[in-house]
Amino acid sequence: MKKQLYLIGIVFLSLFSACTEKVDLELGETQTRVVIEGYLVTEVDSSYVRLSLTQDYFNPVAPVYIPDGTVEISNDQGTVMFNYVGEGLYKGPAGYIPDTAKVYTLKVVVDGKEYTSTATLYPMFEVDPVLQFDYKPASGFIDEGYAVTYYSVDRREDEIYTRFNFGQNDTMFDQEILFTNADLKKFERVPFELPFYRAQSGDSVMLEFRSLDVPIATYFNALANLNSGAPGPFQTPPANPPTNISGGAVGYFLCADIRRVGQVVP
Amino acid sequence: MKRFLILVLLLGAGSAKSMAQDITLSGRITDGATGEELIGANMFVTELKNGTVTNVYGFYSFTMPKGKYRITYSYVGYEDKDTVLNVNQDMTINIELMEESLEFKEALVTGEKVDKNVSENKMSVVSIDVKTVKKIPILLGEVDIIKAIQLLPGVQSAGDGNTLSIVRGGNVDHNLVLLDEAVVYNPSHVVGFFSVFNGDAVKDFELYKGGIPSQYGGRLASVMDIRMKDGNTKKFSASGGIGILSSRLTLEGPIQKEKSSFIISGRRSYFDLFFPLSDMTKDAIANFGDLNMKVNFKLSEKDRLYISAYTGRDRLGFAGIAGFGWGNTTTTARWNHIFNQKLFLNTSIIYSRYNYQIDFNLAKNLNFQRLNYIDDIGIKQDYTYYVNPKNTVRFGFWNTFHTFLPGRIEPITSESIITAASLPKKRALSQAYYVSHEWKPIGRFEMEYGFRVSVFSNAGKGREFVYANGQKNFFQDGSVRPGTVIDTLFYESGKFYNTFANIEPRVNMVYRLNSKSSIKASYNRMAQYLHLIQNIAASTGQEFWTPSTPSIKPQIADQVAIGYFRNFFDNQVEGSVEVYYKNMSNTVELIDNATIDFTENIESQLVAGRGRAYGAEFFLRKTKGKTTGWVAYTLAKSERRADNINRGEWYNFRFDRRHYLTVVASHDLNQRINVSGSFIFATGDAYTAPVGQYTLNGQVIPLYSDRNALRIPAYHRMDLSMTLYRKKVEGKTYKNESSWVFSIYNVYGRRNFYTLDFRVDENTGQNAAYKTYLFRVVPSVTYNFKF
Repeated sequence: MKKQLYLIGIVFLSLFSACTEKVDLELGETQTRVVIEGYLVTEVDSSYVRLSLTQDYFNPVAPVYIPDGTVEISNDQGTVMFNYVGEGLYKGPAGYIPDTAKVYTLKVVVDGKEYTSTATLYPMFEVDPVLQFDYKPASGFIDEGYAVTYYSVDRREDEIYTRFNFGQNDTMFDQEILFTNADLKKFERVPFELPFYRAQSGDSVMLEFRSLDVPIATYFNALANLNSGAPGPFQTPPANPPTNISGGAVGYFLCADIRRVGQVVP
Repeated sequence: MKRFLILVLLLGAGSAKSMAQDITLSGRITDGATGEELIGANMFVTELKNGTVTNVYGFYSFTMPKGKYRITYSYVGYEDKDTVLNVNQDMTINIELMEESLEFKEALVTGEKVDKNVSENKMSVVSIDVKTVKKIPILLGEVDIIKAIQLLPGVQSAGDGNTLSIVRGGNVDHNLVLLDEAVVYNPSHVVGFFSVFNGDAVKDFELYKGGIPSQYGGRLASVMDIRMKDGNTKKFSASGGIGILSSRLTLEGPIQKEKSSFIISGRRSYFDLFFPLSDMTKDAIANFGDLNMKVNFKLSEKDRLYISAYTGRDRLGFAGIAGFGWGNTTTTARWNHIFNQKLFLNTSIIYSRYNYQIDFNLAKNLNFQRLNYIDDIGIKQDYTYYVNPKNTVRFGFWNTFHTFLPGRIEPITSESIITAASLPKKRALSQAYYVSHEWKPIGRFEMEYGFRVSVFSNAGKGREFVYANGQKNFFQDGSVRPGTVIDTLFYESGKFYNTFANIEPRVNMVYRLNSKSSIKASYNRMAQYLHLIQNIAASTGQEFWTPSTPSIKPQIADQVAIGYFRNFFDNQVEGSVEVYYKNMSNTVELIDNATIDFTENIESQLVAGRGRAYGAEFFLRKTKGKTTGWVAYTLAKSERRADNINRGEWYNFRFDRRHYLTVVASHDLNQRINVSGSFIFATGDAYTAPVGQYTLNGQVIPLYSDRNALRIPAYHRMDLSMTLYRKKVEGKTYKNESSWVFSIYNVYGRRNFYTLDFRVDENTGQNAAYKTYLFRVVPSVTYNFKF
């Protein structure tokens, strides 16, 4: 949807020679809220929970972290305490790695107030380690180069989202693509060509996949559809993304299985 | 209902009793040059100081005692026709009126009915004649009746250059737009910059924003009734215009002289011809076109047949990558039958379709096409019974069967990983039955009262969802969430499984204080069963209509208005003040972060709200002389309220504008040159903005205010135009006419907000607000011709 509107926007803004300028607006003030970033992923020592406070929109000061909270993560096999390591970060014991196919609960206590969240860590679908490169001439606003295709097989029954990112030469693009497996073919090997992307010979292409459950995908989807403001004819009414954390905090508790594939274009 | 029918029968009986002495004069009033039937033309009997007006088919009927009378037929912009008749039996008198000549226009014409503003039992009605519309400076020189209407009180644009209208605080979808009685679901081209109505094909239009007659229904805020020209029955003619971005051509003429005629009128934009000039737009596609067609046949003195059609299409996108196409198609077949001097019937069969299609071809394995439409097929009958000069009864029905395709996705190639999917069609039957009585008991007082019974039924084959705890959505952790579907109810084909019914009373009345002033009042209840689901303000074709269902209740509005009307300077200046209050229930509001794209259980993304809109409209218009124009000012408030939005408190409607001022002036410098100008001032729209921020995984996330809690700066703009007509010599007649229209939109280059974005300033690293503005100073030139 966002891309569709973006295309329409480009056509008309260019058609009518739109101009943009910075403006001063009074936005008012809002009450400070606790921010929780829960990040539980299947890579060793990569999981963390960060606690901080919201800030003014136009005049933020240095990040305000919360060092004295308590953080614990549990599943049906037990509870793991996450301890403060600085800059708002709380981390599990060394070597910690969560299991897939488990439901996890996050419990955070700040100033005596409890915030909780539950998320499911689904396994990623299977991705072939070998990529396919097809040379294509320039077309429209897409340059010439190698179209990159990966192959995958999805054997999962539940509705699971994938947050997909890719990059080249040690730099990931900020092109997070979120898609569900609900409408895609299952139990068969299917190709997927990266849209609007052409690599050149010698480029090192990297793909990154994260599995997400529906609530956290809903959060990211809302975030992706959020416009940075309103009004405007192509803009959806903005609202805070629906957090999966109860208790009044903003942020999310994300559980993801991660798959990475990389290859140099011949 | 029963009492009302008894009243009608009594009136009929009274009429029968008096028929022994009274006779009825009826007929049609037409344009003498083209044969076009004139809507709202006057017939006035001098000795009785009474008369009537023609209906939308140019038909009139007036009952009077036998005798010898002087009768005047008149119509604004036309020469009066006086006739002395010795009427001793029912008579049919068809009248042709001729347009005023140039010399005649110079003289001030004042007829008996130029005090319409004061005397007519109509309020909250907006109309401008098409000739005036053509003089008003408009964006890019495209004649646009909707943009002209937006300069009148109570009707506002949904954005800079936008043809979607906000009427008395209602939503965009609260407006019923009819073209020859067919519903036009999307009245705009090019994401709202142009309306779908070709000014050359339009004969007459009226917009009711209150006091809506009982024959109309289905929308809360307004009815825009647009009538296409019938076609010249006298001679062949052609007219058109060549503009910067589009051109138009109209051909019309008799099929059989005086008995049948045709009109065909088309437009095509060509701004995409300029796209190859820029690398950014060289692959872009953006164009629109439309075609109006109509034929009419005079089958006999008592029977007329009209068949009209409209089709329009917008195309937008990038070649080979993505494309969007949307448009309306309508067809109306109408049969007028005059049973006798007093009873007139129109029967219409109406088809309407609005559809859109999206093609995405992002990669060889990632392509799909998506379709969506609403189809209507309906039948309508409108009877008018002219009982006597004091009583006229109107009754009829309008039944329509709707078919909705919410969405269907198909892969374009077999290699696509997208699988075909379709949301099931929805079907509904809407029925409406109405009756109204126009009553003129004494000379000073008139009223029209009646009611409309609307019935809306969901029809199978269909399915409805059952939600956990009966909640289609619920509030949790600061956000509204879609409910959980726990069961699905299936309904077999042809079965009506859910029905809503509403009685919608309507009243209009006028009390004439004297020949110069009057007080008018109206009340109407409106029910709306079709809802536009749209999460943006522009018309991109991606919005879709959905019916009321067990989970989406009909929207209801009650509006009361009262006004004081006063004419000045021998009716050269019309003034009015109207105040109104409108209460709305079951308004359709999107929940926060609503997902409406390809969502079958769309009700889970909606909450039923309430709305209230109230205000005062001040209007002063000069209608005669070399200088004409108006000043319109609206002081208004429009709010919404819904569970789980802003904690259930009242909040600003997005297009709530406290002040709205328009000034329009037109001056004939001489017979060749007309200069016109317009000015608009509006309070800035309400909007939602980030009032805080936080960081997640290195990404800065805005923390938003309550919905519509803030306001953008005010909007204002001035436009100017000059029309240069072909030089004419007095007394000489011309076969050809032509004119040049030069206009400047936004003369002083006000940078009005079009969009507002919040993002990081790359120079400072701090968040900042950016506005996008579209039209600074937009000059245009159009050449119009007629022969």
